Parts: sequence; C-alpha cells; structure tokens
Amino acid sequence: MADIDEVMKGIEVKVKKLRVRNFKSLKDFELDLQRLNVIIGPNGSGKTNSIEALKLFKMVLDYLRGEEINPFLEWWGYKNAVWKGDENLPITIDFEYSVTYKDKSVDSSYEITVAESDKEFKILEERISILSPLEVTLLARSDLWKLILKRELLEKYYTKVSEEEIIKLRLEVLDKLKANQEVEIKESPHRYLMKLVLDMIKIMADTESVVGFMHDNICDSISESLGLDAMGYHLSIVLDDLLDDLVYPITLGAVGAYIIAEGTIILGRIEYKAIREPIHPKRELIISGDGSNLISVLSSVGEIPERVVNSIKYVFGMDSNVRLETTSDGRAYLKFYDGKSELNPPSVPDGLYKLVILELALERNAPIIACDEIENSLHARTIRYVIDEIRNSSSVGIFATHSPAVIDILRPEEVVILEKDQEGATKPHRFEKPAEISAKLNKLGVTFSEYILYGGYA
Amino acid sequence: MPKIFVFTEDSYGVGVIEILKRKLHTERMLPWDHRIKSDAIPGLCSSKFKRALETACEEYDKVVILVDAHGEGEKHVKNRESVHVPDHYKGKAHIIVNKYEIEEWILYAKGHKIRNKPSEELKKSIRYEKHMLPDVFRRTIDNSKCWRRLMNYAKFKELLKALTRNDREAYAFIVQA
Ligand SMILES: Nc1ncnc2c1ncn2[C@@H]1O[C@H](COP(=O)(O)OP(=O)(O)O)[C@@H](O)[C@H]1O
Ligand SMILES: [Mg+2]
Repeated sequence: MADIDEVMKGIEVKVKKLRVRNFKSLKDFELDLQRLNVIIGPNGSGKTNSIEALKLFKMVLDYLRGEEINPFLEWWGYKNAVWKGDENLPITIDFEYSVTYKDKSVDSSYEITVAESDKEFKILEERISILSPLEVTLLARSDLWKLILKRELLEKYYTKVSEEEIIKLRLEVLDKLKANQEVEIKESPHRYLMKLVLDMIKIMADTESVVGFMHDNICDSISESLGLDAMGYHLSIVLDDLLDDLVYPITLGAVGAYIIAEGTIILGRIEYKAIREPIHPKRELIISGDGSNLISVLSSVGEIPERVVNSIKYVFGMDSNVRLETTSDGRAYLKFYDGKSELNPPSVPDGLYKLVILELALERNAPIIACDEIENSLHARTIRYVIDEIRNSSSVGIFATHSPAVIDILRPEEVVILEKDQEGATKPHRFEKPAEISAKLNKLGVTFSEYILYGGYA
Repeated sequence: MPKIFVFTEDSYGVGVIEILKRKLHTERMLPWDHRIKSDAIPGLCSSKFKRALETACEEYDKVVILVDAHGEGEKHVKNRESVHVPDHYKGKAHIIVNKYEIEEWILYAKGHKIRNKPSEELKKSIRYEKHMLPDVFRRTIDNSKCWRRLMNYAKFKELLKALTRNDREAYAFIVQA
C-alpha cells in the first residue's frame, strides 16, 4: 500500500480557487487563492466557516475509508451545517487547481456535492472538469458516470483519422460519440471517483502505478460501456488514442483532488497538553487539526526537518535546537534547547509547538495550510516568520485573524475581507487596486490595519 | 555604547544580520559594547514603516535599511526608501541596496558570477530554500577565503562600514545621492 508520501512524490498540485455553496454562512462563496490569503472581518462574518469548509472536504476521505460515518456530526447534524438549516439543500465544495506530473500539466477542477438523507451522509455527485490542455468533464454519480466533451474536440479527432484507410469503421463510433457528446458509463464498477483513487493507492506502490492503473481502469470502463470490443481491433486502436488523451488528464485531476483532501492541514484549537505527553509513536504522515499527533508525524518523517530546526533557531535564538528524545520506557517527546539549558515539555512555550506544526506542514508540501486565529500563542516576530515562509513556499496559506499587528505586515493583495450580505451570506472581497494602497496610507498617515478599520472595510 | 538598528526585507535577512553580528564580534571587528538589533520592514511602504523608522532614528545612533533591488535600478530603490526617512534624521539613516538580494553575497563570497536572481542560482546548485539563508550565510563566512572575498564586495563593504564605524557624519552623503 502506498502512503501519501509515495503518491505525492513528483506530483505538484497548486490550488487556485475555492468555491463553496450552502455550507453554513457560505451560501455562494468564491475565493481566488493567492500564495497567502489572510481572512479578516468582524465576529460572525464567516472566517471560521470558511476554514471549516475545508475540513468538511477532508472528512469526505475519512467517510470513504469508513473511518467516519457521518461527517456532519462534527457540526452536530446537517441542520447546523447547511445554509440556514435548510436540509433540502446539498452542500457543494469545489477546487480549481493545476496538477503537474512528469512532462504533463493539467488545469482541473474537482467539485463534490454532499448532503444528508435518511440521517445518512451521501455523496450525490463528483465532477472533474479539465480546463486545459483540452476540455472534458467526468461526472460521477453513484448509479452512473458520464464523460462530457466538446463537439470541437470530437471534430478534431474526426479529421485526424479521416485520411486513414479504415475510416468507415471509425466514423461509426465517432458519429455515435458526436451525436450526443456524452458518453454514459453505465456499468462503472466504481461508485465514487475519490474512492477509486483511494482503492488504487491501497493496492499500488507508487505514483506511476496509481496514475497508470487508474487511467486504464477508467478507459476500460468507457470502452466497455461503448461496446468497443465488439467493434473490432482497428476501432479500438483509434478509440484508445482518443480515450488516452481524454482520460489521462482526468486521472491526474482525480489524483490532484485526492492530494488536496489528504495533504491539506487545517489547524484549529491545538491540544498542547496532548503534544507534551510522551507517546509511543504511530506511523502517521499528516498532522491532525489539533496537532495532537505531532510527535508521531515527526517520528514517522525520521529526523526533524532542517526547515523546522531553522525556524526554531530564528525565534528561539541561533544556538537553540529541537530534538526527538525517548524516555526510558521508549516513549517519544520533543526536547528544545535554547543554547544554555534544555526545555522539557512542561516548560516549552505553546508558540514553539505551533511553529513546529506550521513549519512541518510546509516541509510536507501541504497544498493548503489553513489556520484560524493565527495570532494565538505566536509573537509578532514569529508570525512574520511564518508569513515569510508561506510567501516562499509551494503551499497556499489560508489564515484568519483579528490582529492588527498581523494585518500590518501583509500586502494588500494578501488580504481577504469578509462581509455578510443582506441575507446573511458570507462574501469575500479583495482590494481592487492593491497597488494604490501604499500611496493612500502615506497620504493619510495611517497603518494598513487602521485604514481597513476606519476606511470602513472591516 | 553605540546602538545600531538594521531594517531588512524579511525575516531571513534578520537571521543573516544575527549571524553577521556574531562573526564581527569573534573577528573583533565590532567593539564589544556595540549593539545591533534588526527587524523586518513591516508590510507595505507605509506610515507604519515611517513611524518605525522615526522611532529607531530617535532611539538608535545609526539606522541601516537593507533592501533588495531585484535587478531594478538601485538608485530608484534608494530614492524610494529615502522618502521614509524624516529630513532631520537623514544623517543617521543609511540605505544599502542589494543589486538583487542578499543571496548575491553568498555567490560573490564563493567566487561565482552574480547573474539574475541569485536565490534561483543557489536553488540549482545547493537545493537552496529561503529558510536556509542564515545557515548558508554562516557556513559561507566561516570559510576564511570566502569571508575575505566577501569583504571586498561593494554592497557588503558598505554594510560593514555602517555597522562597525562609529562615525555619524560619514554616512550622510550616501543618503543624499
Ligand atoms: N447553517 C448556517 N446558515 C447560515 N448562517 C450560519 C449557519 N451557521 C452559522 N452561520 C452564521 O455564521 C456566523 C459565524 O461564523 P464564523 O465563521 O464562526 O464567524 P467568525 O468570522 O467570527 O469566525 C454566525 O453569525 C452565524 O449566523
Ligand atoms: Mg471565528
């Protein structure tokens, strides 16, 4: 079985956009993502909700693995999770992202629609839409999968093969495709796309075989559904060509969506007490939302990453260090050194643990690192360090804050201001002309946070 | 006891100044009572930076603003920054503009050519990432040959002068340029 490390090796996922519908106050919420996105807004404007939408997305994986029966229980039931308690509405979460693997790069989106019916969590629909290098959509519902492609795309293949000898045979199938531009895959053995990725990961050992096997799997389902085998050898070769071009991007899109769900780190309230407790480490590679498995993750990674050590040196002094130590009965814990003395867990400031968690998430190339109330337990200098780290990383940071000190170190394009509309739906705003803010601040003699507050932005 | 404040572009620059400070002490280039403190420039070119600068100018004997030109005109960058320095403190503030970024010091010290984006250059040669800057800098200047070479790099020399000389007047002309 491959773990996230093996699947992520060599695949680069860059998240570009998040869209949420009908989750809590996010009735129709669309956010273009920069490298760093700091969400601000008054109490109750939806900062925490925005971050919790990511959590719901992550929990879909737990559900598909059978580790979570109903993710909505996190919010004490569907009624609390869905917009204005209207249980007839489904919740949709949608990401736009690019996936690069070997010499291939695709722009993709993954949309998942979930709801509760008969007190059960349901995945109603998944949709992978490839935007480039070609446009194609795979829609997956529990009873049926559909491949949707553009007429122009078909025509391209149509002309591509028109000179061939066996043109008639091919036309037959292409016409069939062309007629409705939708290929229904009725006998798909897979209920969920995301589940298919999880299954592949369970049996395959590395990225190449996960992608390859999944690709073949989807292709087989399609050709079977079209009855291609019955159409003879020549045809299947032509169609294989077409399917190859269509399905490979879809496969990368699906693996990308899995990586976003699995790799995203969402820090909520941190359980410092649990982190301080020496433990027998388990093999774990993803930091949990409360950070409680930090020691296990560090142990699984092996040695403490240079990035983590460097961050400790920065905030705690050049001669400081951090190490994994073991108690006499074999339990692991983190020990910090400040150059002169050593600090055992009860004496370690909370902020150092929080910094280690954030830095570890960066080192692990988390596609998204989200943290509500980022300022908690962190000194302004440390927050600045974390922000500089995000700016120079390959992760997308989504932080919420109430702190003027945090706002003052940001660039205008990094700020997302939340506001509720008349209905009470959360809407994100960005500065339209970020380049002009600097001149304004100088003219008015105010700080960025003062400008936002007194300028009526938040 | 002379006190100097150094503003850097980001946290990594602050780390570098820390390392440099220690080196200058061990090399006895910095009197033992010389105090150097550094911090990253807050976010935007804003009144916040202006006030930070004004406060530092008031409370410190000398203030160094170490910024990156990223290949833009160095003069232009210097002028842009000097706007923030209040007139009556012009003599105290010393703006130093790297051609690209601090990583160019490392390339120079190692005897490499400085072309576009030194950090990209380092990424290629040593799998460099930003968080390594202070540590890579420390290892570079711990090599005496590199250290000697770096001390001949104009930008670095400018910084050394600013940090080690206790002569206020000497720097006024640079700001006016
Ligand atoms: N199911 C829901 N439908 C609509 N609005 C909701 C729902 N659940 C919570 N809210 C709204 O979300 C707000 C709380 O948002 P939250 O993200 O916690 O705010 P903050 O910005 O303070 O973190 C409350 O004002 C509440 O009205
Ligand atoms: Mg909140």
